[in-house]
Amino acid sequence: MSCKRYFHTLHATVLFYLPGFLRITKQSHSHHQMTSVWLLPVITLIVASSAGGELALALHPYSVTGALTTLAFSIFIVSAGLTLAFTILTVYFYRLVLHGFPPDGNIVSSFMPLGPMGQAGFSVLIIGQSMKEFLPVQGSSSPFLGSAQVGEVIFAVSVCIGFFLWALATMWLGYGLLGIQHIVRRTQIPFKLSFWGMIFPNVSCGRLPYPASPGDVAIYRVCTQS
Amino acid sequence: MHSTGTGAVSILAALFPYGQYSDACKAISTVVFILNGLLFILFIALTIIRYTHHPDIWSRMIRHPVQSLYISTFPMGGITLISVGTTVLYGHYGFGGRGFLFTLWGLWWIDVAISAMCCWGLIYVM
Repeated sequence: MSCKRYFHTLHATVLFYLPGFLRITKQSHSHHQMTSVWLLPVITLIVASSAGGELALALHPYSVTGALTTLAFSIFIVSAGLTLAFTILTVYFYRLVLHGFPPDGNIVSSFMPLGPMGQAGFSVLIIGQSMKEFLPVQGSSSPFLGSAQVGEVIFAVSVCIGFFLWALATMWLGYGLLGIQHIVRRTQIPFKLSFWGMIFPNVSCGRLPYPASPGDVAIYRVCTQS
Repeated sequence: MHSTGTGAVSILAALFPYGQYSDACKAISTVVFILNGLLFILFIALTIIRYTHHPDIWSRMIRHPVQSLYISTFPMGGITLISVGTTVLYGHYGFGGRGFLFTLWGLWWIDVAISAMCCWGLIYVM
């Protein structure tokens, strides 16, 4: 008797939740067709935050509140975007292990992971640089914004995070190059529109070290300024 | 497929300014920035025309597992314009002064809103 009731409950639950679930997933995906193009929607947040840091530095002479608000938004969106990018990269890594590199022309997307890593590193470095300049805020009683040390600490931490992201970008560059040579040796890749997707991630990786003025943080100069 | 070309050219524009900000690099960056801006406006116009003439393409595109993801290149193209506008045009040439900077700031907020819609919206549709 109770078994039948459980069945009914289960039945009702499935009927109730399934349409909602189907509405969330309008598209159908399969794991072997997954490429790093999945990163595109989440990179937008990271890219927006990198321009936010630059704007905050320029805005500071006119409006301290505006600059700090922009910076706070930048930190929020780079955190959200980077976390999502890490989870998608985990799925992408799993795809590489199970199904190998994406075949044919799709292989040019193998540089895509450089985008979130490089842009986020640039963004974090410029956030650190801005915090060093903006803090302490004049006349603030807040223990965070009014402290003389907080800016320096955030700068130091952001340089470390920037280096961490630079290292990850370099690691993904290695996988990208390995993937390209693997596919190019076996098949011919036609030159298509999708090739433009290689430019942005590599640019992101290359511009990462610039916010921390190279004189201050020489390690970046050694690593990328060739 | 829209705004793909924009993205590529925008990226070139963003790449050039980081050559120690010499006069030549700034000049090249500005030229590519103007070209990028023109292309960006052209592609927006083409996209609007495309979807107003064939509204049914939109729902087909949003259901496509790969094509739909390329919508996100639109806010990225905008950000490269804002970035070069802030660092090169405003920062190094002093172009436009306070009004130009605040215009860029306003555009940045719009871009952040579109980026957030791309991030949450597209993942939701996936």
